[in-house]
Amino acid sequence: MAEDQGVNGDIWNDEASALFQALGWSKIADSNIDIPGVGDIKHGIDSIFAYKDGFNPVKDQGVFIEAKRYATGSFSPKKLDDWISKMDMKLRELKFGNELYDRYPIVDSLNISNSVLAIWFHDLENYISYKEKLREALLAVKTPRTRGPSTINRLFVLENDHILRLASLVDSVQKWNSALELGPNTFLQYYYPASSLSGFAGRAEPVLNLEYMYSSFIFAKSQMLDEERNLASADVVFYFGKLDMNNLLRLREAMLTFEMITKNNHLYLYLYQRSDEFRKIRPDVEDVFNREGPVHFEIRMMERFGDLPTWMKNT
Amino acid sequence: MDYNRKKYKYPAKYDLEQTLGEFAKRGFVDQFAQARGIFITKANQSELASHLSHFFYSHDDLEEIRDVAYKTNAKDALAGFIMHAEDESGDPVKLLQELRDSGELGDDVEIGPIKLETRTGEEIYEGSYSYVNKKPGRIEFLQEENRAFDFKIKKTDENEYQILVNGGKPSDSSVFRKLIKKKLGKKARYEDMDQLQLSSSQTIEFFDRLANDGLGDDWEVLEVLQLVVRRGNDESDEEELTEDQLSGITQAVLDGKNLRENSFVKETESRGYRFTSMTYRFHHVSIPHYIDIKAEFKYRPKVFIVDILSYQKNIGRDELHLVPELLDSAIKVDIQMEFWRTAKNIFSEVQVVLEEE
Repeated sequence: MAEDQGVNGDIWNDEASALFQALGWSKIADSNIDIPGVGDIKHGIDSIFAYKDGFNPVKDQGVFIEAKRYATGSFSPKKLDDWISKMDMKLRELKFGNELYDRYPIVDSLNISNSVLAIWFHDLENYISYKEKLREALLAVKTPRTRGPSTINRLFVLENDHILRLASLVDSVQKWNSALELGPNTFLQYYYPASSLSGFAGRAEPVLNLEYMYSSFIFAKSQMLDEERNLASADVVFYFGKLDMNNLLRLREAMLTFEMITKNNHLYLYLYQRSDEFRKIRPDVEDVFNREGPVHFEIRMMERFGDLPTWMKNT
Repeated sequence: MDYNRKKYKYPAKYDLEQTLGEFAKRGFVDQFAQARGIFITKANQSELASHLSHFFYSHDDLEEIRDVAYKTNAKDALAGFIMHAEDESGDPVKLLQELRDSGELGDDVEIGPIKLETRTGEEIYEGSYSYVNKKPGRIEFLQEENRAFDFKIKKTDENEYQILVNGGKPSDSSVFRKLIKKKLGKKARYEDMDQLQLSSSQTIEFFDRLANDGLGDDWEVLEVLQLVVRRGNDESDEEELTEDQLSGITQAVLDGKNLRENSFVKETESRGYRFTSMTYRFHHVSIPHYIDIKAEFKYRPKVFIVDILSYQKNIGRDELHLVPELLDSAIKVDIQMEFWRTAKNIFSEVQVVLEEE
């Protein structure tokens, strides 16, 4: 069978759930649920999560998760296209039916318009050469469109590279927190800057939202002890983009715009990508980022995983 | 290390939303999202743009968005001018090298290495030029456009140079000329092909002769694919010829008759129309290759530009069956340069000949 249904599929569903939980999301429904939608057709969902949205403090987000474990050879663009249409349809049917709300009353307080397809290609030896085909498959999807007014859903595809990148973020945050020697109240929180359009004030949350999951950089704030063991504030930036001067200067401008470089705070820049060239520009980068504050600036490398880390496996 | 902070300014959410929603094509916005694993369903373009503006993007992502917002009309057209310097000190290649090495260019301008190319047996200097084009009035994210073009310099006579640029906009050639002028002042004069320098009848003569002489002895004109005529300088008073009219024009060109004797052309000329654009199909005399070239007076002022629309090979036996054929970009530029140069000669000749009539 193409998809490892049964035991392996369930295991991947649990592993993916471990990742979302580590990002601050909470699971609101059991795994592998069947819910009747319009016309009593049952819709299977691997799990449902909720999270507090740093960009929208008024309404929490609900997210349907589809966990798929595949071999690259069994995957096809047609399958991806089908999944995307089905995920969209499933959200619509369940959102406008009663069963979901009856069974999980908490859903009533959530924004039900998000779905994540978490797909893990387990034949890692083939995955790297398969990436270009995967990209082509993503581009070939016919995103459901409409002519008239209709509710909009947000669907996301999360595959190996992206999953490992998020695992790396979790790893960095865990290491940061465990080195703090301070209580959980001072732990690192993701920072959601104020947006002139949404009208909400900037806020910090221990939860990563979908926007950040798909962004090139993530801002965070934390308390810390400085060298003299005095309580100090830290601005922390996780950056996943290219390590050349153009990209890093643009990042610095974004940080200045959103007040992530200040005279009073310590600044930590976590880099995900690796580059031999970066060594050459590193002194210039440090010089530039040290300007206009901060108290102390430090570049740190994030761990890069080749396979799922143990904290995702031991669930 | 200092840098131009404005160049790297992080765009406001509103600017991203406007750029993706209004300036970019829908197809691009869809692909941009999907390549990142993001699918916004049942959304129109502005809703899609609004959702996408919530994410944070890297420099490369932002430049991709901005390039596309600008590139709606980008073409590989080639435009340029002839420069006559007073003496050897006006050699534009040396001038550009001096400008670059002395640091006089400023932060916004960059000239790449200038290389000597001799692949067609002629000496052509080639280089690239990038600059920031400021567009006040647009949303801030789009106010500064990073433009780049390639330039070619060929010495055509004692102290005479043919300077051509291909980047997409003929205005690039005036940007380039301004730079040289700044350095040389009045020690050089410049010639270009501004349509206003020709009368209606001269434009007809110009396009007519270009059909037969434009590409040299290896190519023969086969067909006139398109002809645009315009009355005065009013762009709204522009007409494109029908197929029937075109076949008459093609026949006249092939017969080597003076186009001005053609009844349709006579009528157009008498109504005050001038030729502004002609697309020719040429075929090679010894191999089954076909090339479509558009010659056009465009933009303000109406300067002459050359564009290769297609390069094809015939694979049909009895009937013509054309399929795209790869054209090396260097050879493409050589063909354009040759065509432009011939056009410039014809331009000068028709000015003189008809003035003498």
